[in-house]
Amino acid sequence: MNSILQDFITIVIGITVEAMPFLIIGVLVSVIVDLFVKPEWLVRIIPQNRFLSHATISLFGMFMPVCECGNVPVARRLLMYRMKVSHVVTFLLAAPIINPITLISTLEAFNFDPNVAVFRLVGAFFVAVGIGIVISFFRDQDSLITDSMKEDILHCEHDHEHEGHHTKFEHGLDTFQTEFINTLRLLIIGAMIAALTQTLIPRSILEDIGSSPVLSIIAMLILAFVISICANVDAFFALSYANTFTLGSLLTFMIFGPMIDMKMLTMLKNTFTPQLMIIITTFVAVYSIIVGLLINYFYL
Amino acid sequence: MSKLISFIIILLFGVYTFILSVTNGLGFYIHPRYYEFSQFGTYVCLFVGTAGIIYALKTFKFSKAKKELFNIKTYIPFTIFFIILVIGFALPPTTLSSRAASNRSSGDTLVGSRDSLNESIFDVFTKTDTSFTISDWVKEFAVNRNLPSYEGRNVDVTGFIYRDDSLLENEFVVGRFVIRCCIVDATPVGVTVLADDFANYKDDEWVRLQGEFIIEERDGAEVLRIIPSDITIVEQPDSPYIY
Repeated sequence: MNSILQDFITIVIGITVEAMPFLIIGVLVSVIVDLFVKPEWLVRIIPQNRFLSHATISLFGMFMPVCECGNVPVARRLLMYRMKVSHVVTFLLAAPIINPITLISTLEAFNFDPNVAVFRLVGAFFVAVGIGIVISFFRDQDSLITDSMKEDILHCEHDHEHEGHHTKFEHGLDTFQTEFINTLRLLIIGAMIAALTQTLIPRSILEDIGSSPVLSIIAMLILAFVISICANVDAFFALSYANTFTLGSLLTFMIFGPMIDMKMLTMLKNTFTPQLMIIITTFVAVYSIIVGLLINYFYL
Repeated sequence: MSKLISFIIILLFGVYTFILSVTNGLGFYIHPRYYEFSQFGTYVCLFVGTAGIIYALKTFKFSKAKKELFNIKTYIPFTIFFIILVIGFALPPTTLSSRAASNRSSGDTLVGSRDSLNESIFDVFTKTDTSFTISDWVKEFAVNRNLPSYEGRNVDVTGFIYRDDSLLENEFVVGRFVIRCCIVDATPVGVTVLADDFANYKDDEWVRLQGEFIIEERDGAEVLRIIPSDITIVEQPDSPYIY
């Protein structure tokens, strides 16, 4: 087989096989929330204050340590429960990083400097909460989600009003099937895009600028976007560049990557409007770059 | 009809990952620490797929389904799943190619730090040189960069051949991919061979390399090279990656 095709197929299947269990966990959580959690409970636990509400939601990932792929069906479920778009965005951005597994793996990978894990956690907190607060100032939050998502929200409300038609188990099967198929489709498309980029662009192009305090950050930002690796283990991948790239650029990689990458943007295509995705990507990129620059110029 | 197709697809993904698991194919795509996660996903897909098909058939409206069965538009939304499943079932798992290794190589092939390879470094010191794997050489090189200490030491490793743009025409690498999470982070590591009969050895071939280390000079710096005493083409091992 042609080697480009061989690599492309291997990477697509690899990403799909690796991400699928986490996607399944996320869909199961979404199904459980749909079956057993009443929407009004969420309203009760979230504070009214703009900062505190986003700060509280940023910690939800501590109870749901899955790969970011698994957070997408949960985020969609929260939207169906009429949680504000700004809150859901904060959850999506924070959950992959502010969770025990990512914290432990970062501490393990960078055991020569525990401050790296602290910078990552604190950096992610301020990025996620900051962007959520910015988005909360949009008066018409519904204009930030797609028409298909709005239909799913209406469909969910209709289902909750007419629960008698199915058993809970059958309703759960329906929900699982819908969420899983929709999200898996986008995951595979995202995997194809990531595989194409990784197959055609040599990594050495980015590695040549590793020692520059500014260019290294840009290079790591691009790598994080393209490589689409899970937050639970990206610290070990970043570690392999510790000898050639600046520490600030590695932090940028570990903050930006779990929040925004090709796979995630593709998976969110049917949920958020392009306008919102551009806003999120731009803000996350800018904040991540600032964190990287602060580390490079003031920490070492 | 769409509901039935969806549950069939879920079941087929469960079957596919089950087959990967029992035929040791998972290791071609993910790190062993994720095997249990994958198996959990497999059992969920098998259960949900089976239960879902029964449920979908129970609520089936045959008259409507007959029209949808022969309408191609019914199947279009599922095209991407059909493609992936056909490829997955039809083709055996393969490793990344030498082209991927060249793309991902950073030139100095004996790279990789102790932190990036899970096993303890200390077991390396209890082994003889000829029982060192590529992984063992990488682990030692991570803590010992004193090149003269390698000179004359014997090497007996198995890996695949790839070439890097930074190497000379008569040089190639015998290496393996290191995986930390999954295929996306696979990075090649290996030993560089200096061989007069280099043209006899093609990229992607798996070989057993026996030889000894020498020190050469490249661009004013010292580098390690292997002078081979024997290179034998072998079958790709069942576990081709380093974790």
